[in-house]
Amino acid sequence: MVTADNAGAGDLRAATRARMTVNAGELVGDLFEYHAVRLIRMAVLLVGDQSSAEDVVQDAFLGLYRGAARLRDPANAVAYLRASVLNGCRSVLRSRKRAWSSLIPTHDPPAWSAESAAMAGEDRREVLRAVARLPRRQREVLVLRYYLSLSDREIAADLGVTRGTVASTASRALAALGRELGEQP
Amino acid sequence: MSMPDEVPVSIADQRLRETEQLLREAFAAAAQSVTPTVIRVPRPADRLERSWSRWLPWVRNRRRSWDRRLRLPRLYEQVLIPLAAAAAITVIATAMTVVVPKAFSAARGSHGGLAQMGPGGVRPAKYPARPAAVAYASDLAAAYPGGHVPHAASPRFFVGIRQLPATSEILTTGLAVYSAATGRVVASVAQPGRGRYYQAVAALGSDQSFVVAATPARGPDCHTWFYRFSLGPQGRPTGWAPLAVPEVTGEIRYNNALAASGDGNVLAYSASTCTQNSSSQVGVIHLDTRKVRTWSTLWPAVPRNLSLSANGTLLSFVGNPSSGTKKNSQVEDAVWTLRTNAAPGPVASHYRKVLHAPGGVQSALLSPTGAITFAMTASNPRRPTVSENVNAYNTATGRPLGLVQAVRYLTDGPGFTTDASGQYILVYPGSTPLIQELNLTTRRLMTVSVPAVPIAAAW
Repeated sequence: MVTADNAGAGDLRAATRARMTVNAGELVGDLFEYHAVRLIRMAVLLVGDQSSAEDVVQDAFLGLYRGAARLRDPANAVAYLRASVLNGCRSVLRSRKRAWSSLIPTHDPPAWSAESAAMAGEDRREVLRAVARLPRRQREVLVLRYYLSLSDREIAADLGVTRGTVASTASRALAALGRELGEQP
Repeated sequence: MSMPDEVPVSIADQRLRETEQLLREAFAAAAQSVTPTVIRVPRPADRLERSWSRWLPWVRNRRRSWDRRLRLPRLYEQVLIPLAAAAAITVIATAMTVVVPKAFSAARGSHGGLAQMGPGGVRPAKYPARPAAVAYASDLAAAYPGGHVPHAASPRFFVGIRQLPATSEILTTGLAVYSAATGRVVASVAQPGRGRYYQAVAALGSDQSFVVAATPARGPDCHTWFYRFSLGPQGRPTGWAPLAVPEVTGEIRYNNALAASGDGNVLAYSASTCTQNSSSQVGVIHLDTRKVRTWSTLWPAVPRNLSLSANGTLLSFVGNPSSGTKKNSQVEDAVWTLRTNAAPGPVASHYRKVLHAPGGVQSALLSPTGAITFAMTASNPRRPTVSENVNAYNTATGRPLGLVQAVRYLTDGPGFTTDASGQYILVYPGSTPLIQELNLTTRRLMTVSVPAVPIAAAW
């Protein structure tokens, strides 16, 4: 059975192409089945809380639903969703910064929720806290590279930057992370 | 003295790989908190294609109804956004024409432009982003001179004493230099001399200098010799020489019965005097003046796990609370402190108990200021060999400040030591092939496997 987490790219493309002729609702429904959980997890890592992450992902799927007719190649739907989620996460962080800059941190890492606390040890929570202190772009690159295991080329496409920028951003992020964790990378 | 070739390992690459692996594990663990069963977004098919949901939107999570959210943009785009834009323009215009000029004039008139600043012209700090971490940092600040929590690089090497295969029933030990990142032995030093073996080691100051104590391998001799050496950039021992201090009467019998102050000027030891009444002594040697001061103890007080504050004025040790009276010898070990300027005499006349704990205190060490004591206690007294807690305590009152880190999978009686900055603790179980490195600032714990078990260590 293909689930949200083990669906390969080939499965996805096949499923998406097969749905090219069906209506947008079914296309979005299929993609939701395959990718919603993974995208919500990615958004949680970026915005820090599940509620915002769910909203962002749902908005991304709604955007896909509305723009399905304009989607030239449905096989690119996942890349579109991922980019939408990234943009949505940025919007959430920006709006938090505007509204609550003096009251709460912009990004609260998912290190303190009861669920993740039970699953992640102190070491991992410390890593998540360190990631949360990185600039937004570096955080995005790390999540895309080390959670979604995307290649630098895919990350560059998602973020709209060059591969060199991705590599240098990742390098700086790892160096900063090493320093944060008390190491010298 | 044999020194193997330098191990050709790139520490930077190794740490980069470790960081990447940590990231993957942390992301995966955090992501696992989101499971399909806890997602509150209904499936699109439930909302977009089933007509009944349009009439029963409260049946499920109303806020995330796909239908409602599909309709919302019209409201946003056609009404709310234009209204919000108009309101924003009004507010900005009002602020620019009325509020800002008044604010500037008030600031110039009354406070000379420092109206928003605190005492000394320092702008008030914003609300702390991570209150939990700040609270810990404020407690930890007392541990360091000036309240400045260090952010030093972790030591690259640590020195360990390892037991070598015995020959003719004579205990032999060797000195090894380990890479702190990989646990590999990068250099080693053979026995200090015929009939002597290494017993304890301590870091001497912050320049990768060490002092090591050696004792007789056999015979009636009751003596301790001290040597000092430094590590080169690649971990190779250099400048090996006997430490020029007065002769110590007695024999160091515990692997953790040697400590040095962070400034490298004071050495403390605990040694048995090899007499029939099983007496021992705690001694302090001032390396600059070569003056020695000792305090006597009786069995089973047995001070061990010595630690000095950075300036060497305060000494802590773990020992039996019987105070050498031979009573209550079964009572669990406690942490004690002793002022190093106290008059010589029985240690029981001068020392002060910092804390005791159910199951006993395994190890303890002082922070650089001496204000905080980090102690390792059994988290579960009934199973002390499985998990230990490193807790922070106020040295003066014994009040617990909190758990620093749980250290697992240790054997009984693990030792630990700190680096010169007081930021990094090295935990060495003594009988299992691993060591653990604890960053007190970040509370990060790193476990490194070692090929040769160190029975004593310093960094």
